[in-house]
Amino acid sequence: MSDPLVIAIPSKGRMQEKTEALFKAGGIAVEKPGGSRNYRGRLRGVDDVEIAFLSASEIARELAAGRVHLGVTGEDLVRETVPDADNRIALASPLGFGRADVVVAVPQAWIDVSSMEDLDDVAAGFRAGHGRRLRIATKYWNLTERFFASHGIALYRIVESLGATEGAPAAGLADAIVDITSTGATLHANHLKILDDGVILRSEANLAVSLRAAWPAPIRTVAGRIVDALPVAEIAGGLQRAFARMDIPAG
Amino acid sequence: MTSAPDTAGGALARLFGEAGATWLDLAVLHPVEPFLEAAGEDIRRRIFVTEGASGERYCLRPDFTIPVCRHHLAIGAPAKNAARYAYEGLVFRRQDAGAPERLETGFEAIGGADEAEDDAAALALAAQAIAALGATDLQIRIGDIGLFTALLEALDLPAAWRRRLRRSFGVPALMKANLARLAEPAVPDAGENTLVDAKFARAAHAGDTKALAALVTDMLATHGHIPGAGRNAAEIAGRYLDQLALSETHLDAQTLALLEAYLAIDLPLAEADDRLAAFAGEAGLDLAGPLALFAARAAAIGERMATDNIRFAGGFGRPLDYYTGLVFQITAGGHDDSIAGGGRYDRLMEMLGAAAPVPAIGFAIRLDRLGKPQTPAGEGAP
Repeated sequence: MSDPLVIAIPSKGRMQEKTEALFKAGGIAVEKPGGSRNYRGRLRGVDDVEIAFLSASEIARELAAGRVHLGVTGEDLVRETVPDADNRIALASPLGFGRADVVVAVPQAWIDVSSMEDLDDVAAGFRAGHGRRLRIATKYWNLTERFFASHGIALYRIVESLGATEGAPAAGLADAIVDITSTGATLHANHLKILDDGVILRSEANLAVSLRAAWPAPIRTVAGRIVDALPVAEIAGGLQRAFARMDIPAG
Repeated sequence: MTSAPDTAGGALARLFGEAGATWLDLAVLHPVEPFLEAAGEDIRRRIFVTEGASGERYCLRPDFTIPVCRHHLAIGAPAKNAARYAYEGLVFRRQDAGAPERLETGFEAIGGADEAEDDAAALALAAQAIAALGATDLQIRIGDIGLFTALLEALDLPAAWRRRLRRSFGVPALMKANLARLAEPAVPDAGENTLVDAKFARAAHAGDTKALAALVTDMLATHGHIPGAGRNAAEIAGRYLDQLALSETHLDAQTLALLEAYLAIDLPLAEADDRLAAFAGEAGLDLAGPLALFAARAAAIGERMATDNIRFAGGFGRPLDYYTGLVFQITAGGHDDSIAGGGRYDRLMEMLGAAAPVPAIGFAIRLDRLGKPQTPAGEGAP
């Protein structure tokens, strides 16, 4: 028997529900033999397909490593966790759910700061006034570094925050944050505001294609059949474009 | 301390030794914190970071200057004890092309009292060391961050603009963009939408810093900010009113032309004194202090070495805020790649924990670029 097509889908939460609903809408039932604690599954009535239930950030890593062929994950996680993401993963199509923005937010009481340019100025003068660099709390190290560099901001420090990032400024753990938000409600409740040009990435769940996995013709055929069934505009074309990229000889 | 290496048949050991240097044998791994604090988060992409047994973060040294300064601090009384150090070893940097490790040697003079003499001595020593390593046809380029900073002050530019231009210094593309940005007529009342309600607007329009700060103080308290942890109300209100004033003005054409003319200065060091004095005179700017230092330094350089291969460039500098004065770069043999770079960093020791600023200047020499075939001019990365 040949190797199966491996599709990674989120193992919990709304991302899992939405993904399974999407497959269902395409007439494809995701089966999890042995109940919710099993991390491998299949698609009912489709041979040669294996489903891997993983966390969304694991999915990005597994796609990058080529251990799964297709995956449903957020663009934010692809850009944050995968070095050289554009050469490892192709985003076939956004899926219309899991929308969230990665944003730069500062305390509302900073009435003098409304843009990245303001933040740049505050960062530059910070050490002289406070004896330390401006601190940004985030779990998005890479996105933050790239975005700040693109605005010419170097004089700041990142403090790692793995939860409740939005509380860091009031608690004095950081001065500003880079975090994910869908409605802005959590930021607002914590008296933070998003800078006018502080949206780093408008992210949503995507069908992502590993450019590093082995894609022999039978696996492409199965993938094409499944993706064709999904009720998402342009998604089949996205998959074919990803295949076309892999077919360009290296060098 | 350690014995000197025998690079170039011991020539460097002799030269740096005669200059009063103690040879240091420094650790390869250092806590990452001082490097990030001094150079900012941006350097993280270019350094190799690893972890100790209990999670503390270390990096492979990306340069020797900070390790040398930390050594000087560790042995105590940094402000009172002048000291000179030399080193040789590998430094480690991530880069797009080329090996991530390279051999460097260098010299740092910390705590010296005579800026002009110490600057000239460091520059001359770098040139002698490179010549001792076999390079010929040295070309030296110098810049002066102190002079540029003084120019910004003499032009009486707002503090926010000075900060912006200072951190663009030595990065021509960024400088060009920022000059253009400051020269364009501002949108009136930019930032008005950040005001919270009518009370804020009244205080702001009255230019009443105290009343505005009191409102911000209330806001910080209501929002649960721990007092004293971050930016305070006076700072926020003050900067708000500054920005409000700036939004009604822009860099005028005459000032812009002056800045552009200064940044375009590029001429032999021997002609720089006269040219800079003429520039200040024509512009009606009082730069007497920094120009006297410039002249003293140029004279001190002239006493130590031939200056016909030294050029001064108004726009040559570095954006990092711990550099304060002379910067220089040396190329050789008709190649574009820099073989040595140096500069004065009077603000670094304080950033690393000294109680007060400590004057310091130093340079590093790329041993990996000496004694090997180099990229022909025009093809190498700077």
